[in-house]
Formats: sequence, C-alpha cells, structure tokens
Amino acid sequence: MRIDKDNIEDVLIRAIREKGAMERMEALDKQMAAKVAVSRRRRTWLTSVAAACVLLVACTDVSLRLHTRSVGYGYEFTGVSRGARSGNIENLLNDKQFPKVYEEIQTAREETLKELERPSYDDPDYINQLNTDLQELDFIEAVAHLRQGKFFKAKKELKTISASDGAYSQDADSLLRKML
Amino acid sequence: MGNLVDRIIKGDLQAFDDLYMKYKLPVMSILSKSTGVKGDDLTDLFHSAALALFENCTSGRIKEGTLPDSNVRAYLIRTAKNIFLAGMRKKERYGKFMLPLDDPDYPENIEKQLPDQEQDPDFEKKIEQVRDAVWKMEAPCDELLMLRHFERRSSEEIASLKGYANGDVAKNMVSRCMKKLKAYVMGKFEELGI
Repeated sequence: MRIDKDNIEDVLIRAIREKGAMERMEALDKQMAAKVAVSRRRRTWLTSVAAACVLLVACTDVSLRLHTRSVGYGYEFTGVSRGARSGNIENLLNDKQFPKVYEEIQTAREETLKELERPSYDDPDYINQLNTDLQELDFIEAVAHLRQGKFFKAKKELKTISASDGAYSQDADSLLRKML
Repeated sequence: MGNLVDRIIKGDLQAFDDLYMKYKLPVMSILSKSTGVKGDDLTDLFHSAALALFENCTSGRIKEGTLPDSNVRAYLIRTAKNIFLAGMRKKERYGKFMLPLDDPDYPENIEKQLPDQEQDPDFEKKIEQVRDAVWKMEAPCDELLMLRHFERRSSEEIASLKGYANGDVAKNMVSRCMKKLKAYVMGKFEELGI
C-alpha cells in the first residue's frame, strides 16, 4: 500500500478513528481499574470484618473456656484458712461476695504489714506467722480471682506465690499444674 | 437494543464501550494463555483487536447482521491472534509490535491472511507523520474531526453541539480542518523527502 495525495484523506480518517478509539479505550480502562480498585477495597474490608468476627468468636470462645476452667479450679480449692480473719474472708468468698473479699484482704494486708513494721512481740514464730498470714492473703486473693474467672490474673499471682517458696507455694503449684 | 456490532455499525459509541467492557477481561485471559503475552503488551493486543473490530464496523467491512453477540468473543480472539502473529512477523522486520494502522496491509491481511503486498518504502515514516499530525491537532479541528470521523456525527449535529449557525457552517469547518491537516501532512512528507 502506498500513501500519497490520492489516499491521504482515507489514511487520516483511519488515524482519527484510531485516536478516538484509543482515547476511548484508555478512558474505559481507567473506569475499569477504578471499579476493580473499589471492589478490591470492598473485598479487603469484608475480609477484614470476617477475620475480625472469626477472631472475636475465637477469643470469646477461648475466654469463655478459660473463664469456665478458672471458675472450676477456683471451686475445686477447699479452705486453707488458718486465722480467724482469713476464716471470715473465706466465708465471704464462699458467699461469692467478691468486692467484700478484696476489701477485707486489703485491710488485713495493711494491718499485717503495719504489725510487721512494729511487731507487738519479738518472738520469731510470731513474725513468721505474720508473714504466713500475708502469704495466705495473697493465695486467697488468687483463688478469689480464679473463682471470678480471671484466669490470667490468677495465673500470674499463683506463679508468684509458687516461686516464693512460702507456705502456699505447693498449693499454688498444684493449682497451676491443673490450670496448665 | 440490537446486537452490539450492529449498534456500532450504526454509529452507537456506547455499544463499543459496552462491548469493550464485556469482552476485555475474558478475551485477555484467553489471549494471555494462548500467546503468552502479558502486561501492557496484552492490553495493546486487545486494544488492537478492538480497534480492528471498530475499524471494520465503521468502514463497512462487517455488514449489519453478520456478527451476532455470540460470535464477538471468538472474533476478537481470532483477530487478536492474527494481529499477534502478524505483529511477530512485523516485529522481526521492524523490531516492534505493530498496531493495525502500522500494518500496510491492514485489515486485508488480518482478515484474509494475504501475504504482504508491495508496500510504500516510506510507509513507516509516513504513518508516523500521519499519526503525529492527528494526535497533535488543536482546537477546534481536533474536536470537529473527531465528531465527524470518529463519532460520525452529521453536520447538523456538529452545528448543534458546537453552536454553529447551521449544518453548512459545520460542514465547511470540518472540510477546512481536513484540508489543513492534509496540507500539513503532505508538507511534512515533502519536507522529509518521503
């Protein structure tokens, strides 16, 4: 095919049509890309929501299981109280009066610490007893948390008690073994 | 509504848009598998096939009622494959992939698979000048020539769209623009000695 003055108009018209079609196709490509981007964003959003829902369900399930397990372990524990005060706390614990339990534990702890600072007696057995009372309060607090279903908090407290090598470390250890 | 190709033949550009949107992804997917072409080259290949279809519709090579919607996909794939094969041959010769307009024998050799005919030795340079001139056209000629030859608007429609007094004014304007474009291109040919 030759291009000369006889057919230049035809070639120009074809080139004009080519330009028009190319511009139109490029505009359509942009439209399609925008649509794809929107649908991709929507898909990503839906996937995220679905993942969040699955995660929420899984976490809720795990949380529920842990809650149930901790409550179970908490109630498996039978009384260890040795003093009159801790006996009262344990009664409150059995009545599920948790706010009062924590209040009593806090008061008893403060009083015991004060007594330890200035003991009424110099007798080492008395001092030992005060320390044991403190350990007992810590242990009862951990048990109260277990009975409330606060699995991770109770676990942390029991680990501390278990590592302390105190009067309740074996009890804490036994509970921890069950929990893990 | 009528089928898409018949609507394009009648000058309905929305039908071309619909056809493009409908077939781009499925045809490109098949072409990618069958030719191994990817990315921008694949888009260029589809553009060339769509352009060939459009050109054949507007130039009257495809007659009304001869290409139903059910055959459009196959037509586009076959055309794209032919362009690909022709392009590969031309690529060997010219070192680049060819668009339909670059092909001296387009669309005859695409449709009929004719061997390359005798061609203008300066064809490439001339086409480059033609394309350059068309893409560089300025207002109002670019719009007027596009309305007339791409959108195939009547002189009356152009007059109404551009606010000219009547169709004759629009016709004269279009004719003057085409003369100007021809003179520019022929001048360029002379200037370059092609």
